[in-house]
Amino acid sequence: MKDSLPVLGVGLGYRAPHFSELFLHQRDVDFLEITADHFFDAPAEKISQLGLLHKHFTLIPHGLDLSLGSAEGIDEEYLGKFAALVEEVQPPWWSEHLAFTRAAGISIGHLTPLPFTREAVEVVTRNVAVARRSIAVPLILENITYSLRLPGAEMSEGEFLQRVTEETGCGLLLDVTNLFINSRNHGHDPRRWLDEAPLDRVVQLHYVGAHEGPDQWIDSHSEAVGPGIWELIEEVLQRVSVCGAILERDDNIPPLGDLIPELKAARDIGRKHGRWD
Amino acid sequence: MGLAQQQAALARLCTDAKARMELQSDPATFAQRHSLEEAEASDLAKSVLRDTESFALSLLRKRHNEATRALSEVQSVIHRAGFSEFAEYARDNPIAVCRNPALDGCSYLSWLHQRSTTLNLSRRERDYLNYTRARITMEQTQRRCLVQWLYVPNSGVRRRSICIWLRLGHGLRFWCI
Repeated sequence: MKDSLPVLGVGLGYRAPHFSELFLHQRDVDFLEITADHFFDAPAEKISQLGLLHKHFTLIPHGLDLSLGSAEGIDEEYLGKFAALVEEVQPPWWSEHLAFTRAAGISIGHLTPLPFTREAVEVVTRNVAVARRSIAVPLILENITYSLRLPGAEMSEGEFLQRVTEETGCGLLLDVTNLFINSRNHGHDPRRWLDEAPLDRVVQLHYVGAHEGPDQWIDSHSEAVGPGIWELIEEVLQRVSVCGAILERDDNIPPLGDLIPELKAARDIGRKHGRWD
Repeated sequence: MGLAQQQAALARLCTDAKARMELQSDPATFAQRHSLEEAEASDLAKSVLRDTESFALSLLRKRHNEATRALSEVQSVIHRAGFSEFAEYARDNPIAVCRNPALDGCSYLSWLHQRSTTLNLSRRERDYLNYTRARITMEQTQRRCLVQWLYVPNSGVRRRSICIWLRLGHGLRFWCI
């Protein structure tokens, strides 16, 4: 799957405050990731902004709430909206999280981890098959941060990712910051995690700075990228080629010009390891 | 315990403080309510109960930050109402299936408006809430037209104005008379 996908380079998670500035910095932003949910049932102005972005950038839709890990299945209405968006922007791939956000009629509103079990692998496989019936474009799955450690694990996270990607045929969206945060909060070695993960399946990276709270590291998407995360990006790009990397800043959003150096730094690391031109 | 039962119990624990209290004080009733064995509920209490408490709090903080970010005109009211007011709102208003933080913020403003006497909001502040609700509704939904008679925040105008939002083709127009 990965070999057939284009190499896009280094881009940005699209946030509305950057809309105008993006057209001034087109040469610095190789592609954009759009949060799919923000464009469902959107008013006409937002859809026409999307059309303008689509004319100038490759857009990758990224979902928050498809809940691919839900044992009760996925929401067909949500999937239908996602499929319409994919049809609209014609991306080379789309992405969602390896998590669940809904169960028993409750919308949790947050990415909630799956237990690393065979049953969870089967559930994700079944849900991905349903999603594929509506969206034929390749899907990549993202590793999440977790503060809950669910009981009954039958395998490591690396093995879980290995099995899920094998069974579903999906690629991996490796969130380097999530890996960094989990390794700090749960005291494991991220390099060992990389040894176990299916790196040959990694299509895209996410990165952003993390925030150290009083008790633990927090996935706030609000900080500049720090040295620990740069080191991990270097480690990943040294080991494996990827088609793209996205800087995803959601809070404390600076002017776009202030983020360009972080795009350039990731681009330089990739170039050093021959990952993109 | 199957994955479906585990997820149903977790979803409840992450979003409902009463369920967390019940699991702690009366695992048997919690087990019955969620089709679990009593031993499974006790297991859940031992393994994730403490973590769901902090997970629920971080979820609430995230929801508060995302929802209130869109409410730039009424930040002083939001600050005065405080996080505890939002927590109370969130308890009674679960997150909608298709998440839109701006609309969540809009619904929070309706909540604040209903509690304007308790919160001691002035007529002008109530109008600011209404203005912000109208703006977000027009920006985030497909509604075609909205007309309001109110004080406009940050306008410097001391009188109430007629505010008209009108969607024409692909453009949203706004007049303040």
